[in-house]
Amino acid sequence: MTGAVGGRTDAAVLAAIALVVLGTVLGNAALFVAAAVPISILLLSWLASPPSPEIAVERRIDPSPAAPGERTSVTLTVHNEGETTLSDARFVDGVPTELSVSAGSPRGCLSIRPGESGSISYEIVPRQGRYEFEDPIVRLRPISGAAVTTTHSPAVGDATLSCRRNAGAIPQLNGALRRVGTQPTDSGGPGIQFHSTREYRPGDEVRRIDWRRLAKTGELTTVNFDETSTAETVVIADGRSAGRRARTTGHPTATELTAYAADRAITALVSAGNAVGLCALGITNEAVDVPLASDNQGRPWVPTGLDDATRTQIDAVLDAVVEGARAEPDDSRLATPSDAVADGGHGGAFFGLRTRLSNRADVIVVTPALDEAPVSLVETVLAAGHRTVVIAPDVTDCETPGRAVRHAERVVRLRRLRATDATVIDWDTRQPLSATLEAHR
Amino acid sequence: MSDYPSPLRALIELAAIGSLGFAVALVFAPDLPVSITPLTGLDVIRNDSLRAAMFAVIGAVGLAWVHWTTPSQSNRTNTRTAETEDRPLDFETLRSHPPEDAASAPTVGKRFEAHIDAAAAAARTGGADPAREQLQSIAIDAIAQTNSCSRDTAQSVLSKGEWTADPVAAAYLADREATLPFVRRLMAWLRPARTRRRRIERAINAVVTHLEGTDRR
Amino acid sequence: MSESLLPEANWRPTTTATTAAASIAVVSTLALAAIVGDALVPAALGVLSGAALAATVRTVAAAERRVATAVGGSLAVVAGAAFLGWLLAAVVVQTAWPPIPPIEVLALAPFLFGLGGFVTGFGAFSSVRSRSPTADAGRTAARLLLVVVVPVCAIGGTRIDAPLTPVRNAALEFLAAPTPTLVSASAVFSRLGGLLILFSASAVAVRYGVAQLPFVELASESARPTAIAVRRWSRRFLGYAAAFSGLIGFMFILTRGRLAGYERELPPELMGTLAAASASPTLRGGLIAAGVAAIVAVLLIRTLRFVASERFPPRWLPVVSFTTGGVLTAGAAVANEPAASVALSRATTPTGETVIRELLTTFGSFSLLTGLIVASIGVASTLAISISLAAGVRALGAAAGMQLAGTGVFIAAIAAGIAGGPVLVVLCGVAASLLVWDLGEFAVTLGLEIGHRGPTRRGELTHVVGGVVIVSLAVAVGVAVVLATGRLPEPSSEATTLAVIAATLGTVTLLVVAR
Repeated sequence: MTGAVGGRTDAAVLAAIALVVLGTVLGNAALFVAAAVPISILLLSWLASPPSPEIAVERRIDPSPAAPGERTSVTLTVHNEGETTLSDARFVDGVPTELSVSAGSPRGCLSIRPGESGSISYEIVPRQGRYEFEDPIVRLRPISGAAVTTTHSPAVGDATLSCRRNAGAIPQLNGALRRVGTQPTDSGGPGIQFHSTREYRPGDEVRRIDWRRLAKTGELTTVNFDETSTAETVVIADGRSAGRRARTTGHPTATELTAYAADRAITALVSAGNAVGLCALGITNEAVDVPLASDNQGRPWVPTGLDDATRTQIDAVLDAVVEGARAEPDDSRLATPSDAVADGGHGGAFFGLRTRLSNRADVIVVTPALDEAPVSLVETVLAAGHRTVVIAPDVTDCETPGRAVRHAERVVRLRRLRATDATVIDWDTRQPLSATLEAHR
Repeated sequence: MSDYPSPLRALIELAAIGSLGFAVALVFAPDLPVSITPLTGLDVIRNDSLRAAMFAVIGAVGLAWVHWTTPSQSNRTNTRTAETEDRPLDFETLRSHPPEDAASAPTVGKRFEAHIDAAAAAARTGGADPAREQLQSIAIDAIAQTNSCSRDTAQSVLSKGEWTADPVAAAYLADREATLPFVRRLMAWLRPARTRRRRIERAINAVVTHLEGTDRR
Repeated sequence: MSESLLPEANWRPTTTATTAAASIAVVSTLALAAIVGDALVPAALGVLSGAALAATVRTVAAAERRVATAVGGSLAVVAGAAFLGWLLAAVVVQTAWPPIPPIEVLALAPFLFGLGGFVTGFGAFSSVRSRSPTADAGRTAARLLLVVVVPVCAIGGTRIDAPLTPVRNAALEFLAAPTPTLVSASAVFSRLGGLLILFSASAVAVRYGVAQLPFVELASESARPTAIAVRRWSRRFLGYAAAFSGLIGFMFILTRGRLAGYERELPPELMGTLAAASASPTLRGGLIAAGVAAIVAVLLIRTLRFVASERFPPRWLPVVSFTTGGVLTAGAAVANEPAASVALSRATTPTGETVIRELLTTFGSFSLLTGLIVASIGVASTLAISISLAAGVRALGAAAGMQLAGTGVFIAAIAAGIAGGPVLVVLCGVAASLLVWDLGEFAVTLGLEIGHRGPTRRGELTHVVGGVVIVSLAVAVGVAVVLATGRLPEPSSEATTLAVIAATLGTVTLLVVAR
């Protein structure tokens, strides 16, 4: 700050000069002596040395690693290790440029006695990635004196915020999700494969008696059905451009949250022993790092499997979805049903998918439901006879008029989906995904 | 980090301290030493008003000097550690590009809010309202779904305005704003943009309430 | 386009320290005035005028809304009046009401108290909301000058009668009716022509009014089709009528000589009716009234709409300034009688009463009151300009608000010293001014660096307490110096003079050089 008066001691200097001069010009002793007040303040400030920081700064990031969209709190604790009180210590934490602060403030002015500590805390809603925090800026000012010390103070503790899809425990799948990948034992009818037969033991269920064999040979035998793994599960992740929008600036987009939900669902299914495959909408096969097959529309397709190779391919596809989520949404396409056709909506374009799905596959569609295409997708899949579960991350709310309108559209859409045979799980992304999945019945 | 003051400055400081010491000595000394008696003969010292004028001039010059120059001490007393290009210590930068902000990204509902702005501007000039058609379509979908009726039936319910307790929202969506009381018509004419914006917000609220009841996110 | 999550208001000076500094400033100024002499009235009026000016600058310049501009105009009157008031009070405190010249030499102290109060009030009240009021002061001055226009015209109107008379006579003559019997045929037709042209003009005005007035927009749903139809038909009809009658009127006027021959062919009753119609003042008056009413209605509607509109175009702000001036003039018209009687009753001497009475009879109470309003606004405007100039030559820094408050307290302390108050009081006053300055600078830097969202309260309180402690220490040192110099033996006057000179030179040089 040059030129204009601004310094703390400038006032005292001006006052002293004015008082001394006025005292002599007017011959007033009181004014002359009153100059002692600013002069003593000046002496105090000249005697005060610039404060040397003896502080220890520690940063904690909780939780780390964090899931995309999970509220993460960052706390900066400052411990005064010197022997004098830090009366005016100003801190600005080095928040990474890609992240925005959603609650609290990374700045603060603390007053810390020796041996004690003060803290600043704020919240971040992170997107997927690794983010480096910079050292916080510290400015120390003494109560008297104009000396100011400004430094970068290295912070121990957490300096990286890592936000991954596989952070946190694997969610428990309840309700319809639990039944995914299995066939009900009493469904009967054609198409059930039995695994083996054994001798009839008293107490076996009457329905499980092999009647044909009894009619042929007269032997009583019981059929053992293979209850698990008689069907496969395919997850369809909706990574189209309609979902490349976030709730507010700095928050993860709906597509990123879709990839996260798909990842968690797949992990939970695989850990329960199901074979899972993946198809991703909205990205091309070329965008995926790992070579894999595609359906006839160029969309990446991972066949169902339980092995590591499948897992690698799934991870690569979901990474490509998240990459695509960083791109700009294609605003030239409007969210009306007629345009959904052009986008690859109705039966014709999903035909490629249907040819890939085996007859008995259960389908989990993970989509933010921000336009009409997922509805026609689910209807197509249901019409082909697959049991369908829809997981829908919700990035809308009623806070602003624009979001409220999208929210209303989405509610109508989800109710239409619920009116079909599909099970719909509506995930409010302000809550953790595991809580929503576990609460679903 | 200290740099030594220039010799000239040190000399002036020394002279000033010397004169202060002289003053203190004079206060304590009982009589005036003979050597400095000629000084009292000076006009400047003898004449009251001239003396006052001299002091006034000195004072004014001193005040102006202090006012318009930077203290040289501030460079010494403001200590900073090494500053690199990409890690600014300047709080000015921290205000213009605060670390609280992230790069802007598309958000949900931004397009519709642009439509709301266009509708407010159109209210002033009398043009078409782009937000109303979209809201009407959403409202018809909502009514058709909650009442389990066809779109045509929902359209007529919307026109009659019986689907909501809010008459302003009903009138706006039915495009029959002239049915509102005179005061509302007057406000719409006096402040068209603000009224249009408020009515759009009320219509959105009415649709959401119709869908979800009073408890919602 | 990235919009910051942090609004500009986040970087304002922080609340706790600023409030503390502002209250210390105001309280210490008033306390100094009260303790030292009975200069409390000038000081209080000064604070009031400073505060009102700060509020004026904030509302008139910073807020673009029309209600704010109107309120700001009234606040400017308060500011200017209070400013003149403290000047007057400083005089009255030493003499009597009303002050009659010749006035002997006045003491400086009450004036300084008033000035200090003004500077303190302005600085303290403007710093609470924003960092520096200097940016807006210039625009305030310009807008205030517009408010003055209407009252000045009103004063001029009361003074000037003569120029209006010819206008009045001309208007009457236009409307006057000559007796029908003296009218000749050609005169009938030319007057008829004039009447028809007048009808055409008024039809155009009414047609314009019908188009602009919001009948359709304000009509209810059932009435709307009718309103639309009525508007369309009336516009069409009036348009044809205006064109037709205008043409015929022109024809009559141009060919009046040759039409005289037709007089004989027309029936006498018709001629009589035409003569009466052409001469009737009612018809003319009515047509003029209709046209004027239509134009006035349209202007009123336009003004109303502009005033109510939220996107008030800045170029229309003069309208609001003029309106405020009009409102103030109306207020003066209402309040001048009671004000005059109050001024008379408060006179303390008979000579004073005579003087006031003479003033009232010479100028009239309305002119006096309106003149006072004009002077107040003029003063406020001048003050705003000078503040803006002071900022322009960088006499005021970035934390101008609190700096001004500190300067005000300092001026009050100097006034206390001049008025011969106890030394301790002067010391405390100087200490308070330095404390206010320091707290203000602290609040400004804290606001700029940390903003309002971070936790700052504890740091602010610590600084306030610490500042008070340091300043008290300085006062203690000053008291010690006073006691010490009191104990010393009295040197000769020449020695004193030399000592003082040497001390002054030494101190000033040291201070300037050792920064």
